Parts: sequence; C-alpha cells; structure tokens
Amino acid sequence: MLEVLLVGNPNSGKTTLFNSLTRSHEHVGNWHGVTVENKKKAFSFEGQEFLLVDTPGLYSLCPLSFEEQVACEEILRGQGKKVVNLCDGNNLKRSLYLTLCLLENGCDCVVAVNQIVKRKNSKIDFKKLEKLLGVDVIEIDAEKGFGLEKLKKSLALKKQQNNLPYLKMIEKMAKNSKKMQNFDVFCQIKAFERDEKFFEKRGEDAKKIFEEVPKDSVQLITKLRFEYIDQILSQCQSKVAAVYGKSRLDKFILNKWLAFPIFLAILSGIFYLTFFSLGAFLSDLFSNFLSLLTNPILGLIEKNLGNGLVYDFFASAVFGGVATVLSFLPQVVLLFFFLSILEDSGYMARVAFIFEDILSKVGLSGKGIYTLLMGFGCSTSAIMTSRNMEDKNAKIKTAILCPYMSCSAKIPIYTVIGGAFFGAKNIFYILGLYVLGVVVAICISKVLDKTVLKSKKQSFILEFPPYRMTSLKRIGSVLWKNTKDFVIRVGSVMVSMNIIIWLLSSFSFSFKYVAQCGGESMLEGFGKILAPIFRPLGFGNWAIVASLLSGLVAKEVVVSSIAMFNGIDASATRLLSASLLLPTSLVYFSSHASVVSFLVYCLLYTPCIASVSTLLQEIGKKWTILSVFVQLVVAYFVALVTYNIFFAFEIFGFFVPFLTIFSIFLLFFAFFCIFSKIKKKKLCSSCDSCDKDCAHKKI
Amino acid sequence: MTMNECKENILYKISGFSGEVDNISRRFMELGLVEGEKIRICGKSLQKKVFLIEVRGYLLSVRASLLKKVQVEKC
Repeated sequence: MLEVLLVGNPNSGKTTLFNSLTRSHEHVGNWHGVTVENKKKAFSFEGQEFLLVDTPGLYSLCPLSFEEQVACEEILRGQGKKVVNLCDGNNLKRSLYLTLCLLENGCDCVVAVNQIVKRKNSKIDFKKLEKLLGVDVIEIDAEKGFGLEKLKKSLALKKQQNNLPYLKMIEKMAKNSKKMQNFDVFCQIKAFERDEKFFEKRGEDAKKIFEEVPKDSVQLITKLRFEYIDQILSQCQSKVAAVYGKSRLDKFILNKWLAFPIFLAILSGIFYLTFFSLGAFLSDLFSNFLSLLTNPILGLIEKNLGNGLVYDFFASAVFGGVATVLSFLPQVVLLFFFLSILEDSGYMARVAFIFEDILSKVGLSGKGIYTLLMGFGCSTSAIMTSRNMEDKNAKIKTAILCPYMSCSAKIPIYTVIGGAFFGAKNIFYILGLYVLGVVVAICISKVLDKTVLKSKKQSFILEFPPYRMTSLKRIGSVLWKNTKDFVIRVGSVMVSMNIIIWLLSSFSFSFKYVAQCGGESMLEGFGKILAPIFRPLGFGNWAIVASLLSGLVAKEVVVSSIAMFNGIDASATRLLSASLLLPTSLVYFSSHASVVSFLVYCLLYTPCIASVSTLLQEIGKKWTILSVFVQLVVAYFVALVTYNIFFAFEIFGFFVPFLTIFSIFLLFFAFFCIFSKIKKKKLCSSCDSCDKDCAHKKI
Repeated sequence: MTMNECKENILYKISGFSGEVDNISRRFMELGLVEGEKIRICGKSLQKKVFLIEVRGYLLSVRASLLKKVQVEKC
C-alpha cells in the first residue's frame, strides 16, 4: 500500500480533499488549525491501494506550534512516500514557499492547486508551472471533486527529477564552511535556516554549525525562495490586484465600536434559534414522533407482561430517560449547524483578531477563542484543538479551560430543568449560564497564568481567510455526522448507564426489588451519604446527587436519570418538567434559587469521561487531576454563592441583596485599583513586561 | 523605524530585521515579510495591540509587540 501524505498551508483545503478522496466526514473549517493530528484512511484507485495521511497545516519545515511539529515529523520521516502538496490557488505567492521547501527535501511531490473561490481575472498557466517546478501540477476543486481523477492517476506515476536553480547557489555558499561540506543540500539549507531542533534531533551541536553560517543566512534563504516564486509566477499567473481575504464587511465587523456588539448579537441569535423558536419547535415535533414510536411498544409490554419488573425496566431504563434526551437531537444538531456556518464563513479569524487584546491579558492567545468556541459544541474536540498553541503552558491552560464552556450535552439539562421553573424567561438564564462559563474560564486562566502556568506571550500570527458561504454538501455532512454521533452516544453510553442506574435504584443491597419489597435502594444508600455535602447548595436530595454522579459519564445522563427517578416513561419533556415542581417527586426543587444553583453546578463540574480521557492524553496525569479537582471546587463555590444570592433575592426582594452585592463589588474594585497601582510602581525598577517604551523605562 | 510604529494605510518597505533571528522572525520571513517587500497596515485592534497587515497580496494579523524586530521605511 502506497502511503500518501497530504501537506499544505493551514486552511488550504487538505481535510476537504481527504474527505473527498476517502469519502470521510472529518471536521473542516475556514480557519487556521482545524486539523491538529494526522488522520489516516485507505482508498483504492485502478486496483492500487493508497493510505492517505491528512497532516496539520504548516508554512515551512521549521515548525512553530505543536501541530506543525506533528506534520513536519511525518514529512521528514516520509522518505519513499508520495506527497500531495495542496496549494491555495488564490494565494500561490505564499503557498509555493512550502512547495519549494518540500522539493528541497527531495520529496516525491505532486502539487494540487485548489481553487476554493475563483478570483476574477486570475489565470494560472498550469503547464508552465509544472515545467518550472519540475513536478506534476494539477488543478483541483477539493469540495466539488474536480480534478481528483487526474490527481489519483499522478499518484501512481514515478518520481520526477526537479532542479531548483537556486540550490546551486546554496551549495556554493556551503563550500565556505568545513562542517557543511559533508551535508546534503537539505541539511545545508537547515543550517542556513538556523533550525536548532533539526540538528538536535540528529544529535549534532547546532551552535557550532551555526558559527560558520553568515548571520543573515535565514534572510538569504527566504529571499532566494521568494525571488524564485516571483520569477515563476511572473511567467505563469496573470496579475491580481485585489488583496486575498480583504472585504468591505470588515469595516463593520472589525470596527472598534461595532465588533463586540456584532459578536454578541451573532451568538445571541444562534442561542435563540437553537434553544427557542426553531429549536424548540423542532424538538417538540421530534418528541411527539418519538412518543408515537415508544407508546405502542410500552402498551404491548404492559398488555402481555403486566405492570411489573419488565415493564418498569423498559419504561424507566430504556424509553423514559433515553427518549427524553433523544428528543433534544434537533437542538444539538442545530447548534453544530450554526457553529459550522461560523467556522466556514471566515468570521472566526476575525473573532480571534478582536479578542486578542482581551485574551492576551489573561495569558491566552486570540487563537484560543477557536478552542473556547468549539467548547460550545463538544469539549472533547475542543480540548484537542488546544494543540494550536505554541507554548506548552498555554496549551495546558487552554485545554483546562475547555470544559468550562457550556457544551451541547448540557442543552437538555438547561431546557428541561430551567424550562420547568422559568418558562419563557429561561433564555436569559441559559444565556447567563453561557456567559458565566466564559467568565469563570477567564478568571481561572488569569489565576493559572499568575501561578502555576505562567506562559510566554503567544506569537499570534494569523492569516485572514476570505468570507465564504457554506456549501450544501458541508451542511449535509455536519448534520449527518452530529446526528450519528448523538444517536450512537444515546444508544450506547446512555442506555447502558440508564440500565446500571435502574438496577442500582430498583434493588436494595440484599438484591430485592424495592418497588415490591420496599426498603432502601443501593443508589439511595450511596446518594444519602453524599447528599449532605450538597445541602448548602440548595439541592441536598439523594436522587439529585445520584443524577449528578451519573452525569460524570455523559452530561445528558443527568436528565435521563432524573426522568427515570420521577417515573417519566416516554419522551415527554413537558411531563418531566412538570414533575420537578411536584413535592411528591423524587427529584424536586423547592425554590428558584436551588434550580439556578443546580444549573450552575452542572455547568461547571467535572466534564464527561470522554473529555477527561482526552485531557489525560493531551496534558498528562498531573494536570488532569488538578483540572478535575479545580472544577469540583469551583463548581461548588460558584453554586454556593449563586444559591445564596438568589435565595436572598427570594427572601428580601430586589433592593437589599442588590445593594449588598453592589457594595461588595465596589469594595473588590477598590482593592483591585489599589493593588494594580502598587504593582505598576513596582514595575518601574525592572520594567520588562511592557510592550511599549513606557514612562517607567525613561525614568 | 520599526513596524509596530507604522501608521494605517501608508505603504512601507521592509528594510531589515534587528537582533538575532528567532522562531518568530523566521516565521515572519516565511510568510513573506522579507527585505524589500512592501507592506501596509490595514487595521488595528481596539487597543492597537494587534495589526492587520497587507503583505504579498494577502492579509495577516500579528501582535504589534512582535513587529518591533521588523525595520521599515516609507515607500
């Protein structure tokens, strides 16, 4: 099987090509760094088997971030493998830089020029380009599948000899150095590029090699490459006046006064459509459809086997909770749909630009906003995108913050429990929870940055992609993938978890069926031990505590287990919501304060098992344990504060608690101002952290 | 002058890099910020800590403090 590496600049369409060639549904987006690890899948063409490897994007063979390192290592290991270098046809001036780096390395290359959006008056003479580069150059459209047959055919061809004219000049320069005379051209280039890591891996003393290299060698090499690119393009591309990625829309979207309101309006619009109006309508429709499916089956079981153990098992463990959560499928899919539109639009790079000022103050990079926004969809995939960071501490910090973003699995919790108590006002509570998650994440980032995870300032160098519309194919792929993932999750994890919870809640420690024999179930026993801990938060009921414990597996299980405890045996979210108001129900909330406190706790406590294992894989055992511990403590503390504030509002009305909170806030603000003044004065003596030539230095 | 002092919508030419070549200046060069290349600042963030730069026919957003190393002159 011939291994084929897909290599290219970030956001050049590698994963789209990977999906088209292997018929996969891997995550794509119109921003830098969607792919953070190598993905492999086989495909065959005319009887020959190929193993396609999709690598993260990179600009050259000198990696800067973790994901670039992954791609670079794969290329440097890849002697004997075929390389498909994907170039953005709209930005060949920059894309060909990597092509030259690959050719210098002696890669067996095929250049695929992807025309994502055809620019006006832009014409490329592909035959001439092929001749000048000395390798196959194929025009493709990765999304529509244009040119893929030609690309596959060229993969089967033998390696071509390329002859880059400037390499002779490099060899000539290397002759002046004794150490470099034994190197091949690629190693000589690496020495001129002053790539320390490359020589460290070879076990050579990089500093000694660099002593014999001219000081401006990096500039020399890059200039040689760009001059050759300009020479090539002057012969085979028509001049394009417009700037790639520039749009009139940016005047509004990046405007100092409009940028943040526009961002908030977009997010609010997404949440409104997801949780209310469209989302709620679709969810109700789907819930009715599920009832139509489950009710006859339950009726049949009741008719034939009676209202006993078997009926209880199917009604509670299988249909009750699972169908309730399944009815939220339209809302979850809708959220992913909107997020994918955002990702494809090119707006995310603008968001990173807008947020860089704020996030750099709490030790994060603007690039971190991708990761955090991804967390609104799924924490597990968001944690993985933290590899975009260049510094190890920044990567750990970003990964730790992901679970604080309210993921889609929490939608059923907010909708069912919040909906029961707050009705139409629930949108404000849901928005409040999303904002709270972000605020807590920012505070934790600041604390980590000042204490155990001090990180270097991230470089923040980011390309601006052009705005573009999502294709129907992509929408179909997003809807299909997320529907499949959600149904599989509900059908596997949740059914098995519900069965375990049903067994624990239906049988006593002496394995007697509680509903018939009476007594205390095993879950009740465990729950009662932990319940007192949660009493100060306003929900010290054993069943609520048990549902929180089950939520450690997957957050949706919180709702399904509540449905089971309250005896909801169909996909009826309204019935479930109503049961939460009944004092006779096992899960019952006595006040609005306890509901808000419960929702806050659900937002902030330890994420699902999948997220924890991804954290373990990405940041190691030590930081995962710390992260889980911090989450539990923060969730408890914030829920405690929330409960007391809302409880005070319930007891004393609005003004007294408001004035108390306002005065506490003023006190904290005054302390903050005093401390920051002291800190500024201290900085005067050794002012290293200022970006500008500040007044302190002049003193 | 250094690039972080550049004004918006004025064409400048890169005249060189100051200090030792580190990973960041190497990345700048790889992205097209090489000697002789013309650049223009298209926009700045709210606190002017991030610049939007037009270089080699595309847009690049960069933290202003990183641009201290890039020497420029007016075209």
